[in-house]
Amino acid sequence: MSTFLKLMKWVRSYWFLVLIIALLTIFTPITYSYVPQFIKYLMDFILNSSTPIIEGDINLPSFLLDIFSNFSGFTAIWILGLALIIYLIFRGIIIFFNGYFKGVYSENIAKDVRTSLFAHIQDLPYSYHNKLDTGDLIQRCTSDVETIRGFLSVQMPELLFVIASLSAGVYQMALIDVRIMLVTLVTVPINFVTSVIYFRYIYKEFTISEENEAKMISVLQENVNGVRVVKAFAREPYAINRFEEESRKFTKSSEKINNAMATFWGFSDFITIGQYALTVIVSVYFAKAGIISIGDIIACLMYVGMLVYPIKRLGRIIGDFSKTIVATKRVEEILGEPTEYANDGKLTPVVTGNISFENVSFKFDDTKEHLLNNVNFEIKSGETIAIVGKTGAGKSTIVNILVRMYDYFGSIKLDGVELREIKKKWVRENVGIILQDPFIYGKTVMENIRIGNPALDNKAVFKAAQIASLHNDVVNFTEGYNTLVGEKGVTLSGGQKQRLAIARMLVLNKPIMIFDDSLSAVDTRTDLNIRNALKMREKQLTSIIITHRITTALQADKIMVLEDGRITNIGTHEELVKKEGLYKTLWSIQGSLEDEFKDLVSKEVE
Amino acid sequence: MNQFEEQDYSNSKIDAKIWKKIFKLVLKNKKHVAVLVTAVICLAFLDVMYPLLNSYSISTFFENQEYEKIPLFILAYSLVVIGYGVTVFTFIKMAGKVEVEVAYELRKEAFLKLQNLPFSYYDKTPAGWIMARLTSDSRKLSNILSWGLVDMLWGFATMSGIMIILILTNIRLALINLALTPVIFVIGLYFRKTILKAYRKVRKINSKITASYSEGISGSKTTKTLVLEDKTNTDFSNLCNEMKTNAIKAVIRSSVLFPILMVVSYVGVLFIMRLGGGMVLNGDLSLGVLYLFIICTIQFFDPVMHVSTMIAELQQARACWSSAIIVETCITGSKNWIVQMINKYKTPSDKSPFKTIPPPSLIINKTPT
Repeated sequence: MSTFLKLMKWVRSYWFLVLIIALLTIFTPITYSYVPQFIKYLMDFILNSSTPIIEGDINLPSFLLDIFSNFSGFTAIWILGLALIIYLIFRGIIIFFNGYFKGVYSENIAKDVRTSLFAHIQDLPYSYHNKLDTGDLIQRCTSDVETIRGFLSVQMPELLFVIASLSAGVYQMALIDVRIMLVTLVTVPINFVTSVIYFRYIYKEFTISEENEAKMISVLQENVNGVRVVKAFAREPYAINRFEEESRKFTKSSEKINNAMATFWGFSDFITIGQYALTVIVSVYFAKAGIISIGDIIACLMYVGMLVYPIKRLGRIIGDFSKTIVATKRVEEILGEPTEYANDGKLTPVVTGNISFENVSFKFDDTKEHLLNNVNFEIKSGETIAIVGKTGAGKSTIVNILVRMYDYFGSIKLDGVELREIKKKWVRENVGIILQDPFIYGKTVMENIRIGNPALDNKAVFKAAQIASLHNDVVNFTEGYNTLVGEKGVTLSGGQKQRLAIARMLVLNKPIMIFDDSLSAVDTRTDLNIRNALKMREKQLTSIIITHRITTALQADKIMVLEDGRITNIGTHEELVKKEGLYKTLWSIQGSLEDEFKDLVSKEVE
Repeated sequence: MNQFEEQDYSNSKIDAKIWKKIFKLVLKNKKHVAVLVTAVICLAFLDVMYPLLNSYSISTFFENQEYEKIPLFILAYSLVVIGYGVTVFTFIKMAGKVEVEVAYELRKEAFLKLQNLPFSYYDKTPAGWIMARLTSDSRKLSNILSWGLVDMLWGFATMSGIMIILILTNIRLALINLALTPVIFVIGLYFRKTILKAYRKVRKINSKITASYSEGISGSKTTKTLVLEDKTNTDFSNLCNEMKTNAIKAVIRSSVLFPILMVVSYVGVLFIMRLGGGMVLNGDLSLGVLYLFIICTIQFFDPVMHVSTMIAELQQARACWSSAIIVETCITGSKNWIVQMINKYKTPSDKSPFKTIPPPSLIINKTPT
């Protein structure tokens, strides 16, 4: 029931439209219920052309019967036929508006669900995005939304149609003969019971099938996104087997649903046509007893469809309802996840770049071990801090906490204000982070750089690109800054992506910038150029550089060595190379290699 | 939002090779296809049989009041009822079987081909697009090849069955139906084409929406760090609005079709009423036959619509062929991409970024990033 109520929330804003659709949907079968009366009139007229047909013989408005009675012979048939056509044009207008309003309603619902999902996903915490299965999430946002849309805009009004059709059919048939009407309704409970059984079974099967499809899509997505790795490790046969396995599972579950459908529809058609047979046979005996006329039986045969087919449609609605309940649950699972702004700060202080960490610790909710343990340090405005350490030491965790991607224990102050008291978006507007594997939007180079500030002029874009050592690459592209970089920037090299991300962040002029190993894919010389250009910027910048490259770290005002979530050393390069520890070891390996490489490059250039 | 524009295959010709490939996939289920075709023909036969039986009952039992054939009539109707149950079961089971098997084979073939494609293909083709080809398009294509073609076959068989029965019963009245057929067919085809054309635009926007979801999910961290949530939400909302506007345009076209066909069919009924009614009054026709003609005329547009819909869909749904022709498009696409890359990175000193490397040599890349 609660899922149904959740489904209904999408309808609330369109109650007036729903009301119009409901009225038009009810009118559609009601207006049809008078069509067989025209045919009945024709039959009665042909059989007794000399006797006038009066009100009570036939269920048509008296003004129409008065008009018809003014004519005789073939003219009467023409007039009857023309009246039928005019009536059907009126009915056609109702059907048209019903379809049109249903379309408007349907598209509005789809838009609402889509935009709500998109906005909610954007606001979900980083920890959620870290764990999610992209393929499954996309399937929920696309096919599940379609299922919900289809049910609310097609199947729900159809339910009304079924009720209206049954009521109108029962009423019209009862006017002809109550006993035939009752005979026609004999199969209704049978159809209803089978529909309920079908619903219960298909509900389970749809859930399984949706899960199987999601798994298959996930495997496909993994493969498409990681095709380079698959090829590099010659894992194609494994990928093929895995996909085939999931694809076969999905096929089998679809087949199971199909078999259930075949059984249900086969039985349902057997009952429906059987109902026709029963009505005809009973009518024959009634005719033999002189109870009903030919006109009555012809009208009855046309009305049987109004009683029997809607019940058959009910099965489909029930089947779709089960699918919709599954889809709604899946969509609501996403919408039910609390956003990261559910627990947000309120302050928007002026940020100049002073940062302090006091006894900061961090662990994920589902793990016992702390990734950070009592971390303490201070950064003054305008300073450059380098963080070095082995993979998994907690370097990225520190900066992710600083941009409020994760919550923390202890105290972090930004210009004296507790970080968790500051609005998350405000923090991110002042603290920029450039990731090692930055996400590049499928737009042009120019659009990517000015994405955070579309009003930016070309001069500012070029300047940022120059600082990031990207400008010379871009001007060599055929389309220059208007070059489309492809999905996730696939047409760019790793280094170009990183430099584009740097330029994109530079134009935003944030007082604090974090380079999360974001110079790893550029060569030493470019790395140096970028850092020198950054230093020459007019604006005072606090920067945090996470790096594995000691030559990048050595120029920092302070170097922080992180091991197993703890700071083991802090100092300048000169201070740290004198102390025993990880930094000294790294310097002894990397420093000599770096010198060798520099010599080699300079000789080559000469 | 992702700016990748989906290629439009709707005006491209599907060559015999691709047809052959597609039917080869369908014919992998020969047995099922044979049973399916038989079931469809049986269903069309039964669809003609039951109005015929009703008509017979009106003429024999109500008009002429000859009741001695009641047991035979009950037997015949019982057979039709059982036939319906069995045929519909077989029809749905087999069509479903063919559908899921063809979809499976299409996915399998396309996935195999994907494993052998060069990196360049993945560089220029969004992952969302590839996924849509292997999921929704393969499903649509298999749907057309199973239910769609079967629907068309059923439409033809039922149309032919009704026409044969009507012609054999009364040629003069049957001429009205014969005259009506092309009118309904042309109206149906015209509207279906315009509807599908409108939906093609909707489909393109839908692809962009899927790509936006993909981008929104994969790029969520960057979006957060750049505080772009509001912007991406606005962009996405605009895209959804565009989708809504275009879909409503398509809805208007499709909403107008049924009422038009209904009125046209009843214009046919009007002529049957006038001509047939006259015949009954003159004693040239029984009421049972008049009933048969009226019912068949009302129901006639259903199979005609099925046929015209399928023809329109086959013409318009070429975009779905892309899942079947993924190999061909990939190869052509890759060639074009290489040429584009050569032009893109063309510099005075180095005309081509693609250098030939002799097998046993060691390459040190000294160029800056």
